[in-house]
Amino acid sequence: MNDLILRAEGIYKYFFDSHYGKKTVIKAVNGVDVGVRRRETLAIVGESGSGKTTLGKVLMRIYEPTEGKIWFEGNEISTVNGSKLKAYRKYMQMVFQDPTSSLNPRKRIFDIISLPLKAHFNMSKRERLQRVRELLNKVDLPEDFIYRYPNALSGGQKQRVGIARALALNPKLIVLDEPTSALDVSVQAKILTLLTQLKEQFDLTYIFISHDLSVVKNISDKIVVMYLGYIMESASTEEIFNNPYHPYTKALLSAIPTVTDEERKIIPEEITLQGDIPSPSHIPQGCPFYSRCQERMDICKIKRPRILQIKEGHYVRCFLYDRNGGK
Amino acid sequence: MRTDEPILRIEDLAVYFKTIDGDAKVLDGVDISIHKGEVVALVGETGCGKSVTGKTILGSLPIPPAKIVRGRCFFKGKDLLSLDKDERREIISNNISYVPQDPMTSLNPVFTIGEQMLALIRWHGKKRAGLRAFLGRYNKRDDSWGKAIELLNKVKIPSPEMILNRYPVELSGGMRQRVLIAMSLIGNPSLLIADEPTTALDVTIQKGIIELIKEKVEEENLSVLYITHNLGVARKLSDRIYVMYAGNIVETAKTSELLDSPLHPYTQGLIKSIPKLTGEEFRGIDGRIPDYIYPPSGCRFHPRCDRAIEKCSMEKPKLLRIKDSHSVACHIYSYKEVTSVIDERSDITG
Repeated sequence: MNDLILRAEGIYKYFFDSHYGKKTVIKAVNGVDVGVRRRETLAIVGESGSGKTTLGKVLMRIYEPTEGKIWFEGNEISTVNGSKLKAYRKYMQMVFQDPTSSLNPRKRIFDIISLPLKAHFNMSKRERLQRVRELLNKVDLPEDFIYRYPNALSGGQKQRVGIARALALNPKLIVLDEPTSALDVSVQAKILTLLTQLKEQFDLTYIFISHDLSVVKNISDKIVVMYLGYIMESASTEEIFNNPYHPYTKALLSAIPTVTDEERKIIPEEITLQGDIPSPSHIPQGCPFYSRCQERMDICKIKRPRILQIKEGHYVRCFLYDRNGGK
Repeated sequence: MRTDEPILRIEDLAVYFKTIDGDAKVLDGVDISIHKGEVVALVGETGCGKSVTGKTILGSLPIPPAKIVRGRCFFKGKDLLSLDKDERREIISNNISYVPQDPMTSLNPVFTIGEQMLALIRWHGKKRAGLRAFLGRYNKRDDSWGKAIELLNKVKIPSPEMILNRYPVELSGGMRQRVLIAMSLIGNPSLLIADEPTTALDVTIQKGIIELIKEKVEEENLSVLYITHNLGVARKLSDRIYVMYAGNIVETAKTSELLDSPLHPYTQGLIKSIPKLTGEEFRGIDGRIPDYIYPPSGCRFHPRCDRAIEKCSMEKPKLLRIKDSHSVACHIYSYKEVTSVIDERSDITG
């Protein structure tokens, strides 16, 4: 248990919305338990609307969880705020999805990367200049970029700046929210290689949020599959790809656009999901995946399946593997 | 190798954009041909000129700042670029249609799906619409409502009557993309230009859309120019692939052949960049897409190419046929591996 850097139990995150007096509750995350080991890469995968980004932000304490507890290195952080929370921010940083909108267009690269240094360490300008140069070297950017503005950079370079900013405080954990989905494949490969190198170099732990399973396969140690705010399946990367249990995981795997024939053999046969992910404000009563499931049964409509350990470290939420759960 | 006349044949197309600093030479000699019933994928990175190619065919490039410097674009034997505006519009509106990239912004948010579809059905192919078009569905002789439902059924949208009364924001991305595909089928087109229609969608939804397009191609005998940056999608859908780099076609072959034995260093780099499920090592391509105002001399890829030879910076390579349907524009093949060099633009077809 001790090597868990981040642990979360029973995380719920609801958003309350009111539209002309009609109140709706958007249930983005529903009872999620996760644990991240030190120096591990945990991938959270799912379609858009599955609550993966919300979960990432709750774990980062950008959002306060509606319910549930989060421990960072054994200290509970789910309710701390103010200066105490700021102290934890040093250890947890985030890299955002869209490199263009996550960098202030009116600030120079130096200002962008050095802002966390200023906020947390109260460094002098000379120290900050030195540190920013160092960081730019780490992410393979030329030093003379410090006086440029983000719009003079390409997408890949901007994402490198975003990574440098996350590294500035020497964090222990970085949440990567689809860091390469806005980039071309040739650039994506470079960024992923950089992320792997940095992880080795700085003993980092990653939470990698993504919808691209071929990327996840190559970078992560453990995968959590989410659907409508519920964890549907969670296991090591090998397990998920070799023995997927949940019909949703199978469908996700079968939808990967593969390039070579060898890849085609790895993923399950053709499954095409009908329809769309339901709205998180109207989660179905039974299994959340009922409306699109290929192997649905009568019980799935009425009762919500529980998450069950099938093998060592392999958890699935499905009645197909929990025959007694329905009774 | 098909011997029949392609439905669309682009020859040596060059499109420049006027800027303050000089002309941006965005397309510089593009050759593409598409046969009847064939799905052709145009693959390349962001900013390589894929969308400009599609828009040139559709005649929807803003001229100026764009200008077509040279080249021809034959559609069913007629050169679209030399026709006058009205003739071109007539041919395009009756034969070619377009599926846009972003289903979120391509529909007007203040009109219902029905209003937008019906307007298109009534106005289709007309320069002016008469009173009947304005009276719309209140006119009993007007069958556009029925046609809209029929179209939505074609793209497998459940309960089309309900969808027609909805606003675009009430639909999901996949649903909106289906509506757009339905709208593109209005004029019974023979050529569909799809500009990254699945990029904004989830993989599971993307799969459904790809299957839908495949099905429509067979049903309606469509030809498709599918613009994408995703080689995996191109593999699933297309018969042939054109790889584009910085405004040039660098390689073309049958889909399986191109992906299994790519010849051009850029194509090889692109395929190596994709993270594979088999866990093979992947690495990107150094550098970035060149400046179009002062593009590199000779082959535009040579500054990023690790197999560049002296000739690459001096002379622009021509697209040469290496095998039956495999053509590549690269100097390293023009000496060694070419057994029969056939430099004939109209012949570079699969």
